[in-house]
Amino acid sequence: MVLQTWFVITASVAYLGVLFAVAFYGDRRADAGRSLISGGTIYALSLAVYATSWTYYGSVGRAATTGVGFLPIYLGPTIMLALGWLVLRRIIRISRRNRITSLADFVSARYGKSASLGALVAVVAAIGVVPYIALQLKAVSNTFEIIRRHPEITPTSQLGQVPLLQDTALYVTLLLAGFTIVFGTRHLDATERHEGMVSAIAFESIVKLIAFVAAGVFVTFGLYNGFSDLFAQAAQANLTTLFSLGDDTGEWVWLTVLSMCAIMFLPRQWQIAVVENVDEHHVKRAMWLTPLYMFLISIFVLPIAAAGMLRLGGAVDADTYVLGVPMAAGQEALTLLVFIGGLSAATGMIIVETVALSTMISNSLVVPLILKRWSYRRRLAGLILGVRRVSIVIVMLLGYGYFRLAGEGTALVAMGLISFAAVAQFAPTIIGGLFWKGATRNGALAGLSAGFAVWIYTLLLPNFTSSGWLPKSFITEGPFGIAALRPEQLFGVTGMDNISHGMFWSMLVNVGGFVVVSLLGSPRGREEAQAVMFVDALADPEGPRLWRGRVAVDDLREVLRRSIGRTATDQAFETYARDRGIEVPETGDADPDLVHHAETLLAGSVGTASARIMVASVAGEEQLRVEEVMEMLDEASQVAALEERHRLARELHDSVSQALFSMTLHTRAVELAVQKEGGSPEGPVARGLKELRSLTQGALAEMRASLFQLRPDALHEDGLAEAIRKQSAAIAARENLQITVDAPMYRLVLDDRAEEELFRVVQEAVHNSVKHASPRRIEIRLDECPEGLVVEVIDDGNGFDPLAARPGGMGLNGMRERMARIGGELIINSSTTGSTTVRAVLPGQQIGEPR
Amino acid sequence: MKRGTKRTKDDYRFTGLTVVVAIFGCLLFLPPLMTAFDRGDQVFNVPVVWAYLFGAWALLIALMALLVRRSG
Repeated sequence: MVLQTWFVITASVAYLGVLFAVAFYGDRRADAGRSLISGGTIYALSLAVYATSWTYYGSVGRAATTGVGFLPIYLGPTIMLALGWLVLRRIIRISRRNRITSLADFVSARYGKSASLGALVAVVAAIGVVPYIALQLKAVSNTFEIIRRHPEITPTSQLGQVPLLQDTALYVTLLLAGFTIVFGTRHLDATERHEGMVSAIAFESIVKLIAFVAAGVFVTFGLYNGFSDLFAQAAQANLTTLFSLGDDTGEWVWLTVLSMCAIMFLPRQWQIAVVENVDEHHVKRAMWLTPLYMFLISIFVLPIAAAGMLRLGGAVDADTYVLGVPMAAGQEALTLLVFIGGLSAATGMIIVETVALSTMISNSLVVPLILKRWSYRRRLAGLILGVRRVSIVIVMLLGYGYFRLAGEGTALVAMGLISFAAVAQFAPTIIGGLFWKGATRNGALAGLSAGFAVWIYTLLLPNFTSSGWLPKSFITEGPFGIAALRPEQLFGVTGMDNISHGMFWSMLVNVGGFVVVSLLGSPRGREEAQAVMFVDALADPEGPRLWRGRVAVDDLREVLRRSIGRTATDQAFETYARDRGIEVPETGDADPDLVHHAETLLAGSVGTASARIMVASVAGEEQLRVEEVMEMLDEASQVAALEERHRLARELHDSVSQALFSMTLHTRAVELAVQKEGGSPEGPVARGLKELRSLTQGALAEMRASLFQLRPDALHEDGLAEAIRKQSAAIAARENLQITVDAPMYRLVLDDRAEEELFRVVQEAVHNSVKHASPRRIEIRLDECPEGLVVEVIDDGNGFDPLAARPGGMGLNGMRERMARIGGELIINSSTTGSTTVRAVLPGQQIGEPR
Repeated sequence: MKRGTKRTKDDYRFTGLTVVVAIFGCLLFLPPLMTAFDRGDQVFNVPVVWAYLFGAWALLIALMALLVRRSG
């Protein structure tokens, strides 16, 4: 009863219904602010979207011919995830900061926001991955047919082509297109996160794991007495292929490399690992949990393959052993569970892959074209969503069409690894771009296009021959009979399987082209700025200011409204103002920070290259070129500038400071000498000398303060108390007032941030006092009390009424915010009749550990 | 520059150790070490190479879990 066609269909539809429900619930929770995916476990599970129906069924098929030869597909990711904190976190950090929402966008942004590079990446990804989607649909269609024809187990080769309207894959395609549109393009949003979808994918990962492990446990412990019994019987039957990994270790190595690239650069992996990541600390969980998942799902692969070979032998396709063995044993419920598991592996992959591809196609191909052709001055928000939805449907139908056209041959199965090889072409461009500032746009274009061309020639075209789209002689004799150009033995290189051969040649020209062309040229202005920003992503706490041109706030607002909608724009401006504690003016020029902020917001919905075009169109092209030069100088020479400042500070300290110091000593000596020789202390000479001494002393104090400001690290080198002393001495000399600093002589133990904020608070308080209260005397006290660290700035000038003071005036709010940020508070005590006390308290537990 | 707070130092060390684990993984999973176990024999009735690979894999996952746990 369980395997009746109607029941299988009902179960499948019910399963997809549950998927909709999970996704819907996930989105609801996200909207309510109680995210389901705030823990790292969901992230790690959703990364297991890597395990598709190709690995779900295909691993066993591979194991039947090469023993453990299926394992590199899982071992590579384990190694790559171990590097997660080095590579993946960096990518996440950069993507977050620049609102990068796809792989194509990332590459485009790294190489100077190049639109052509982004388009190339999108094309490579689409061509490489659509056949892979076809492969998933084939798995669904085939397994459904096998179940429909039970109890007889039909080999896949005899399934034939199902009539179009009876094909389950068609209905699955349509249902999934619906799902993806609903949960993948629900709204256009600057982060492009889809919490509902991620929850559903994590759910699917659990389902496929349970199904596969259930089948494995049943086979190993139900049909046999554990692993040793099963393998002993296999050894008796002389199934020796199971006990080794085939004779080609070259293939093993290449597969490991391929899968290392695949776990990062497959569009769906990028989508889940980078775009959908909500907290970079989740990477840590994924570094061990995702490999553990893969460990569990692959531990029963070899046993199932052994059991399949023992019980079903060559009569059944090894790719369907997972389904066939329980079915042959009469386990109907288990068979259905395995089928559902396979369905979940296929649907998970298709959903995420399609979302990722549609983002790339709309942001890196279609929108830049639209912007080039027509002016941006029309509503974009609806258009972009429309483009995304249409491309989802197109990608799905292309996948389905490919599946129907490629037929039932082996062509599709081979497509899995060929897809991996296609996305591996991104590795030099991305990894190189992350760690090498000298990598240029032209280098990336050259390497990627050469690698892609070789991939087409050595892997894709030969695959077409097995679909019958090209004559067999293309492989055996080479094009036009030229033997040196045989695509699987290029230039006579033999002794490798087709994947190793294709990878060898494509990586050779890819890495070679990338490195050589990069070295021959040099990055242009914008590229260089982006290179510095990407490579130093972890060192540099703030993004660079990218826009210095004059942009009217009105224009900016208008551009944003057209692309992300009115409410979203207003909200974005509000949060921007709130985060920084400032007012965004309604008219006039926007400050560079705001323009940059707007550009990143735009990038989230239309891609970095398009965002650049749009902002450029309101900023004015002419100014841009000058600014580009400025920027280049700005970004690339930042480090050099810092070093220069240090050098300058050192030299000034050694020369001018020392000279001033000797001058004060000498002046004092002359004063004493004059007194000794009987000169009148009130005489003009003595008065002149006294004046001279106070001037040199003032100059010395001022010099010290300037030196202090020249060295940005001075605060952390000298410690808070010392820094305040130096700063106060300078102000006292300049403003001609008395500032006493009462602070412990030992160094206070504070973390960098608290030190910085407290210093700024004191600076601000003194500055306020000098500017508004005209005091004669300021007293600064630093004290460690039981309640924590207390810093007081007391003046004897004209006070003010703290309640009546203009809100936000005198930077009081700024000081309060600074204290709040480090968990302290600020108390202001002042009255119109007398002195003012500004008291900052940092509670004890905030004081960091000793360094 | 003397910016090294405790947290960034820890982070630096964690990154370094994970890279070491990754290199260790390459060593275990790639020839020549791996091929030494590829003899087609059995140990306790299970294939040697199968037992070796899964053992090494489990070790690697455990090491990584330990590192992550320690780093908090």
